[in-house]
Amino acid sequence: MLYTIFVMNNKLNDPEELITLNPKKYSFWADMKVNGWIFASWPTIFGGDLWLYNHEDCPFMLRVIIALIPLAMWLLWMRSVARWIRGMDELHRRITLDACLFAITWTFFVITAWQHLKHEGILEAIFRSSHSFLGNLVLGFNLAGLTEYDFYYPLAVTLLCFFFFLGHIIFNRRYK
Amino acid sequence: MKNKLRELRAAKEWSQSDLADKLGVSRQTVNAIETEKYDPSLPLAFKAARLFKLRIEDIFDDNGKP
Repeated sequence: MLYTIFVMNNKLNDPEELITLNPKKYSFWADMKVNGWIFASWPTIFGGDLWLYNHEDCPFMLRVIIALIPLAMWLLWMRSVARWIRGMDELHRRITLDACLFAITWTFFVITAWQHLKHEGILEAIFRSSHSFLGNLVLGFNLAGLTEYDFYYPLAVTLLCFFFFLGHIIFNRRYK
Repeated sequence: MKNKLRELRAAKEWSQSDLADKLGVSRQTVNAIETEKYDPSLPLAFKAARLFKLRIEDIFDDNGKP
């Protein structure tokens, strides 16, 4: 039994169990082990929002606690990701860390470029055009009471995920 | 970096998976080292040298690069 536990604990983490388009390679349990805290944080945020919406007169300290619970979950998620990366073999760890760096730098570039183009008035011209898809999309969001600042966080997360996935494919190919 | 890992592995009649298991890495890592796309870390190079009972420089050759 001890041998079995030792072998099970010694199994190297395979990034392709999570970062894959192939459903045969995907492992639900590996995903839960790494991203479980993130998945658990969504109903917590939603539940907290709903509860606070229905209890507007709740004490400030309780509000703080409800707001901090998802933050604690995200910290635990960061710890499980760090453990997952540490449990990989050296090549997979290198590919994953390279993909992380790729994702962070490209996300930073896109957001900086977005700000620059906006400052120069180029994005404004595109968004104001009644024929552009982006223009109509932004107009729709504006009508719904959302401003561009509401998009920065989801945009950054989406870009990070997209560039991490892309980076992983690029760096994985380099060593195949 | 040039290396003799493929020849040494073939001499022992091990598959890439066998060698990967013995070194505690993935098969992709062994393949990347054999095809000279990836240079192993120093601990992994020592592990390989110990496995084949050779010195590191008998397996890996950096062509005298400084």
